[in-house]
Amino acid sequence: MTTYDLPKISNRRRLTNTITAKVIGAGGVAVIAAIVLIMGYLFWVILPIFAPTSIEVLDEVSQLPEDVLAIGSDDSFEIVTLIRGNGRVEFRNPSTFEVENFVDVSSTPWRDAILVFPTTDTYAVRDSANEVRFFRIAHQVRYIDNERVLEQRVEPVFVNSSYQLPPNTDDFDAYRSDEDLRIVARLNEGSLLLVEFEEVDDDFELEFPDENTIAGRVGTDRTFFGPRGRFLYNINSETGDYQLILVPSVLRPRVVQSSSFAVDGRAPTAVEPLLGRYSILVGHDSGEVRQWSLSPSEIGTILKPIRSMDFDAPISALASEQRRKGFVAVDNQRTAHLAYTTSNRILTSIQLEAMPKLLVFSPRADRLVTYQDDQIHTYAIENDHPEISWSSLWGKVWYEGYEEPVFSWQSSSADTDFEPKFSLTPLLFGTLKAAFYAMIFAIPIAVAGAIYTANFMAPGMRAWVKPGIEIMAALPTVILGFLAGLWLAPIVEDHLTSVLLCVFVLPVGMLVFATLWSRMPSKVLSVCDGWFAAIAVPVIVLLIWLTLEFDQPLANVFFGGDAKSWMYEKLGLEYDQRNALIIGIAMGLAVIPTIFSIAEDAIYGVPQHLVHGSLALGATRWQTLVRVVLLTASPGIFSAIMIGFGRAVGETMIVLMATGNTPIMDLNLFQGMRTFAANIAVEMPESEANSTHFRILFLMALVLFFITFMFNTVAEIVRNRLRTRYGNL
Amino acid sequence: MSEERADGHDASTEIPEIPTPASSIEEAPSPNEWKDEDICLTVSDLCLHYGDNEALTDISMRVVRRRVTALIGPSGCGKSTLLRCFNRMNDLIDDVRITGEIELNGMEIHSTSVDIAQLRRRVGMVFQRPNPFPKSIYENVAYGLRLQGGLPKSEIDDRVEWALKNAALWGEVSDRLNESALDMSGGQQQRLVIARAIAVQPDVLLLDEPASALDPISTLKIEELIHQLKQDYTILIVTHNMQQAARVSDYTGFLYLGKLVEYDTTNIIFTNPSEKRTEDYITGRYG
Repeated sequence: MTTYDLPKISNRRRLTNTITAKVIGAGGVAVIAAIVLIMGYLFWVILPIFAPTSIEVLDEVSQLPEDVLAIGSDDSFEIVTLIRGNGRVEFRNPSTFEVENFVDVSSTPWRDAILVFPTTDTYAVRDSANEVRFFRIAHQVRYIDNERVLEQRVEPVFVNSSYQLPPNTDDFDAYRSDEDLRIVARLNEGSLLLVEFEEVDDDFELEFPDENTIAGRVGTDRTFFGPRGRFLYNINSETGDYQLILVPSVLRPRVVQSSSFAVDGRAPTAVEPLLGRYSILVGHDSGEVRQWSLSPSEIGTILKPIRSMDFDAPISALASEQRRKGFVAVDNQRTAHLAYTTSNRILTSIQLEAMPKLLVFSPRADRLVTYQDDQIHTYAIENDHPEISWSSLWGKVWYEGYEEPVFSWQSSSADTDFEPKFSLTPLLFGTLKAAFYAMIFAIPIAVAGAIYTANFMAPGMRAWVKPGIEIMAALPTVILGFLAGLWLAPIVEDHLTSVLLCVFVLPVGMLVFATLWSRMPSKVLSVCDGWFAAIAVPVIVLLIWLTLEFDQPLANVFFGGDAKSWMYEKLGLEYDQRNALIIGIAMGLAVIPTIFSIAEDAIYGVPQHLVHGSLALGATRWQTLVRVVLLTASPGIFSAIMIGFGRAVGETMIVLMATGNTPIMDLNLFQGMRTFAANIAVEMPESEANSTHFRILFLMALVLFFITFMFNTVAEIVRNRLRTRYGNL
Repeated sequence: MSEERADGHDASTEIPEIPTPASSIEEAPSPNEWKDEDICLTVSDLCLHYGDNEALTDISMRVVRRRVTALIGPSGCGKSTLLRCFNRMNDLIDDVRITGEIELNGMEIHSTSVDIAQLRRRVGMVFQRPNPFPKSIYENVAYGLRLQGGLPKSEIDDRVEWALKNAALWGEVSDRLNESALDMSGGQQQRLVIARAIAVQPDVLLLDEPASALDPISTLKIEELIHQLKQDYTILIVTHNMQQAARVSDYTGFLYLGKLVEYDTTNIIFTNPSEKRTEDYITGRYG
C-alpha cells in the first residue's frame, strides 16, 4: 500500500529557516528588552526620590553624665563626641554610649561650648573665668594590620592661646574664615563686644585683637553671627524683637534692621538659624514655624519672612540639619516633626521620650540625638531626598536670599551651605524655547523646499537635491554646534544689522528677481523650467554678501549706528553672543533634513491622478497645489514637523555648544537658554552618584523622554491615520 | 451592497433598455450628412510625438455635438493620447510635440491666447480610475465651482445637487454629503467624478475608459448615465470594451498604430466596416 507523501524539505533549507527565525526573533526581543531595561533603570534611579521618610527610636541610654555641653559625631556616626562641663572631651560608642576614649582638655570647668560658625569640627569653649579657647576634634581612619581603626584627636587651635571675655559676658559666638576670627560677646547690660583677629592661622597665637563695644539692646538673649561673619543677629527671644547688624569690620558695625519675629504681638517660642544662617527659623505657640531669610530690599539686606509651615501644637524647640536646609521642630507634646524648607514639606514625626535639652542631627542627618538629664536617645532617620516636592520641581520657590519666589535651576555651588535650586521649569522653558526658534527657522525653509522640490523642480535637479539634503542629516551635530558657537555667533554679533535685515532682504530680493526672470524670453524660460532654484542660488549668495558688506551703512540708517545698543535702548533687549537666534539657525539646519525629507516624500507621494483630476477641472497649478496636493499631504507634513520638533527637543550638542547654557526664562531671541539635554550632558559627570541632584538628572531624562515620546507618538498616529485614510487613493 | 437608483428602479430591469446600435442609428446621421453647425470639435492633421516616437499621425476628424463618439483600438494605438489632446493634458508630459490643429467650436485650442485652465473647464475629463479628492462628497463636486471663486453658497448648493442628480448619485448620497468621498464604492466614486466634471457645465466630456475598473453592475450604470448625458454634452469615450462602444456610442473611430483607420457611425463600424483592419479588430483578430 502506498501513502501520499509531500516531498521532504531539505535539511539545509530547514536549518536555514530555523536559524533565521530564531535570530530575527531574538533580535526583536532584544530590542524590546533593551528599551524596557532603559526605562526600568530610569525608574529605578528616580523612585527613591519619592520614598517616604521614616524615623524610629534606635537606642536609649541613661546614667550618663549630666554636665554635657555639646554633642557631636564623626561623619558616619561611628563615634559620638560629648563635651562635658568638667573640661573633658569623651568619645563614646554610638549605640551603647560606653566611653571608648577621652581627653582631659582643661582642668578648669567649662561654662559652655559652641561650634565655631561655620565650621563643623572647631569648638569654642568658655571656662568659668570667661576665657575662650578653641580646639578641633579630628576623626581619622587608619588601617593597622589591615584592620580599620578610627582614631580621635583633640587638637588645640591658635597654639592653645585664649581670649579673655569681660567678666559680665552673658553669651558669646565665634566666626572663623580662612583669614579671620571674629568673636561677639553680649554683656549683661546689653552692649555687644565685637572682637576681630585678622590673618590668624591655626598655628599662630591670638594676638592684637580689634575690639569695639557697641550699644546693643537690653534684654536680648541670643546673639550669633550670620553669613560670612558680616551679619550679626541679636535676638530677644522673650519678645521676639531682633536687631540685624551689618559688620563689614568690627570697627564699623551698623544696625540695618530692628524689628520683631512676633506674630500678632505674640512672642516666638523657639528661634534657630538654618544651615548657613541665611535664614532664621522661628517657632510660635500657634504651631507655626516661619522662615525668615536675609533678602535684598531698598534699604539693603534685611530679614523677611519667606515661608511658613504649620504644625499641630506650640513649638518648643528647633534644630537644623548640618548639611541641608532641613530641620526638626519639637512641639510641647514632645512630638518631633521632620521638615524641609525649600520643598515646603513636613515629612514625618515621632513622639519623643522627653523634652530634650540638646537636640542634634548627625552630619548626614541620618541620626537625631536628644539629651536631657542623664539620658540620650538616638533616632534613625531615612530621609535621603527631602528637597524634592512637586512645588520645588515645577513651581516658584522663595529661596533664601531672594527678593521673591522664582523659578530657578542652580544645582551646585562652591559653598557647603548652599541651597540647591532644582526647578525643572527654566530648563523645560529653555528646551521648548530652543526647539521653538529652531522650528521657526526650519519649518518655512524645509516645508517650502519640500513643496518646491516635489512639485516644481526638474527631475534631474531633484535627483541631486533630495539625497544631498538627506545627507545633511548625517552631519555630526557637534560640528554644527562648534561652527555655530565659535564661527557663526561672533559673525552674527558683528553683523547683527545685516542678519536682521536678511529676513526682509532675501524674500523681497527673491521676489524682485523672480519677477525680472519671468520677463526673460520664453525660450530661455522653457529651457530653465525646473532649474530656477539653481539659478537663484548665486542671487541669494549675492544678496547675503551685499547686506553683510553694507552692514555699517545699513546700521547707520536703521539702528542709529549699532543694532545691539539700539535694541537695548528702544526695546530693552539684552544681547548674549550665544543666543536663541544662533540656536534657531544651527539647530534649524540640523532638523531641516528630517522635516524636508519626510514632507517631500508626503508631497511627492500625492497620487498623480489626483493632480490630473484637479487640473482637468480647470484648476491652475497653484490651485491644485494648495487645494489638493497640500491637503492630501498635510498629515505627512504635520508628522514631519512633529518628528522635527521631537528631534529639536532632544538635541544636545548644538545647544550645549552654542547657547551659553544660562538657565534663564526669557523669550528674548537674543538671550541664551539651557535645555534638558544640555543640562544632563553638563552636570551628569560632576554629579555625586545617588545624590538628589543625580536622581533629578535622571528624572529630567525621563521628562525629556516623555516629551520626545509624545511628539513622536502624535506623529506616528497621524502617519498611521494617513496610511489607512489615503491608502486607497 | 446594492446600489439603488435615485428613481427607485431596480438596476436589473434596466438592462433591456440599454440602447443598442440599432436604435442609435436612426438618430445618428452619417458623416456626409453632418451640417457645420453640428460640429463641436474639428481635428486637422494632428501629429503628436513623444520625443522621437510618433504617437499620433495625421489625425483628422470631426466630432458631432451632443453625440457620443467612441475611440477604439488595441492597446498603445494612441486613443487615450488623442483624447488627452482635447483638453491639452498632454502638456503635462515632458518632451511632447504637437502639430496640427484642434478647433473647439471654431477656436484653435493651441493658440497662445488660450488659457489652459479655462480650456479644461470647457472640456471636462473623467479618468480610468476613480480619483475623488480626499474631501467630502459635497466638496468634491463643489471643487470645480470654487476654483472660479465668486459663487454664492446657495448657488454652489444648487449646482452640487444638480450635478449629483444628473450623475444619478443624488438618491444614494443626499443624506451623507459631508462624509468622505473615499468611503464610497468604486462605482459611486466614478459617478461622483462624473458629477464633479459636469458640475462646471463643460461643453465636452472626455471619458477615458470610465468603466474599466468597475464591476458589471456599476459599468451598466455608467453606460446608462452616458446615454442620458449625451442630451446635454458632447461626449468622447475611449474604451477597450467593444460591446460598450457598440452600446453607448453614436459614432466610432478605430485607431491603429497612431492612425485613425476608420471613422463612421457605430452601426457601420460594427456591422459593415470598410477597412479590413477594422473588421479584424472588431472580430477579435488582435487587440
